[in-house]
Amino acid sequence: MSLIGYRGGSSTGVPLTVGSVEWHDVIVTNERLERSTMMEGESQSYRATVTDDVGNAIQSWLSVRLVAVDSNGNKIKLAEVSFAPDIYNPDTKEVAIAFQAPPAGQYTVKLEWDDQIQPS
Amino acid sequence: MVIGYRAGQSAGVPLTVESVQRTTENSTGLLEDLDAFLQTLGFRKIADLTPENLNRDVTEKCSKSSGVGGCSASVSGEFTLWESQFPLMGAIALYLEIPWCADFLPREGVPTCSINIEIIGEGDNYQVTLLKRQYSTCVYYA
Repeated sequence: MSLIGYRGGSSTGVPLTVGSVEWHDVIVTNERLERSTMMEGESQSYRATVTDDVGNAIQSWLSVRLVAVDSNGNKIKLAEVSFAPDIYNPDTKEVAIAFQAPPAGQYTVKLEWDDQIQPS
Repeated sequence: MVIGYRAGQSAGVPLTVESVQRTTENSTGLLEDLDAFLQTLGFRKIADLTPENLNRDVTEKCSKSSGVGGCSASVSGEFTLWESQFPLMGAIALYLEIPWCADFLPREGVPTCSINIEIIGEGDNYQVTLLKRQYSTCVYYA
């Protein structure tokens, strides 16, 4: 009776590059609304100055949500946009996001975003 | 080396959203003002000023009626809701109706409206202005 054995070896292989990620925080300042009071059904714009933590303009692929948070912590998504040229001016670092009024109530309107890495 | 952004959120800014109350405005404050004014002239109220107490047929006799943006108002006379000792004033009634005015409000800014009221007492050969006032912001919000 004979036994089966496999000799040591290696495949040809495929290339892989593991790059490092240069992480940045997003800094939002000078947030403002055209009107702090609006009527149901109306539209207006949220504006702010947005940079990274070293003062550079934000890359166009960053996606953010504009949300309205009421006093109970309930959140309504008003808009979801990327920092494309029609939304964000990299020279002035100003973002302008149009939105329609949520239902009547008191809110805090803010930007929020998830961890994101530059698309390949 | 690629760029990444860590998750976060901004501090935010306050926003108040108001709703338009779609209603027929009967201007309670206006009626109270009118009641008080007429009483100072010696009038005695003999009936409540309600649509049911008004004779709609004579509304067309009003001397002034105007409206903007779908709103309308009318001043009517010759109702026996008030009586007084003054011979030139047998009775005066005032009835305003602004149905669904909110449908015609502008979508930008804070809409307001004003109503100009002028009540004229008429004698055989003359007229006397009894009340001339302007009421503003008649449309209100919930």
